[in-house]
Amino acid sequence: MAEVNTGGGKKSSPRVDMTPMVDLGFLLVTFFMVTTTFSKPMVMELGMPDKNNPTKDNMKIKESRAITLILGKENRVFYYTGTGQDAENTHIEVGYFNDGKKSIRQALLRRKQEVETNPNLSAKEKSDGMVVLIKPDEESNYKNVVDILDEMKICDIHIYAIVDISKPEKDMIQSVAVE
Amino acid sequence: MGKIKIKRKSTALDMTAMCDVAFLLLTFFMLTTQFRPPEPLTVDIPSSIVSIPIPNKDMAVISIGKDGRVFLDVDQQQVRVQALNMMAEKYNIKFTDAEKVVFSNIGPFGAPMNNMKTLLSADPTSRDEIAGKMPGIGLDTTENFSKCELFDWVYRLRSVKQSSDTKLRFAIKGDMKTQYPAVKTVIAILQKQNVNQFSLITNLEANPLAKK
Repeated sequence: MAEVNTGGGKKSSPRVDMTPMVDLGFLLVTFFMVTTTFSKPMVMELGMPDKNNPTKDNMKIKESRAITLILGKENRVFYYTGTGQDAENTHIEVGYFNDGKKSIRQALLRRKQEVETNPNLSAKEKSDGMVVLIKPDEESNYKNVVDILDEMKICDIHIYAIVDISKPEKDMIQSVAVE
Repeated sequence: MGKIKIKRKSTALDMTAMCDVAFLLLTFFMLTTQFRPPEPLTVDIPSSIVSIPIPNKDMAVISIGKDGRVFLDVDQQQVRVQALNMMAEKYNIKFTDAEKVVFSNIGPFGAPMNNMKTLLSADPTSRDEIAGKMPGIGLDTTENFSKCELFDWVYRLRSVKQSSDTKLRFAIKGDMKTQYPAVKTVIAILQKQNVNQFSLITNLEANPLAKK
């Protein structure tokens, strides 16, 4: 019968103090918000030439359309125009994956412009754009490879291939690295 | 005097609406959360501007850690078990049914065949730890990959999927610091059996030229 004595409180009883419940609710909301993985990974498609049937995708590349990129250590990219047939006369330069003066993107865009305005190329060759040979050295890492493939996408270059690095090119980048 | 009374009333807020909102949000996040499955190999993936989300089905993911260890993950349990059966046949190892069930649920694995039994028969509480310490799937590059376990896995996964309508897609999930030769070996293994189209798993990043 004690309840009757506190009968005055009976009127206020439909109001429950919700504060702790709200606290708990928001705590849980925060927890689930933080643990939810928003960033779903993306996939970059990569097609390689058919190695077992090498004639299928083989194509002759004009030197004037090509640029070769060699991925070296410490995130450096060595690049030169052409495909490196004439190793002695190629002038090799160094680029980086940053936005500065020596960024590889600027070099690629410059070269792309060059190819697209080259009067010696046919209209089709111009519209196909330039050809990029990507040669990762043993000392490059996976990030460099993905970054350079990404640069292809950013600069809107459609023809590119990942190729093994050759011995003369290794020597070339060694000599540049020493400078 | 009336003013004082109003002030007293206002101290107790009606929390019901707030509470409703809180729990609505809570329910939403609880239902949409997908907990990240435990990853025995931590892979810090690079980012790129491509925005094609990873397909949910028919993916075989080859993870390459920064130390060059290679782990493999296939989502469909049936395909996994069938491939394991075929691998067991080749390497002359017998797995019990219980071990096969464990294998179908284990996620990415990096156990060479001679260590597979240790991993699958391990105590559930210590299995995650053991899985993380596995040396990775063997990448023997000699003699046309005839002794390469990853080559065998890829080959068998593909032959399991050959009878079904959908093809298995291979994806490479490399760590940013992985040295290129390890990636090259994996690509060579895929190319050796004519898998020339594959995906590289990356995070999304904004296109730096899009602003202009």
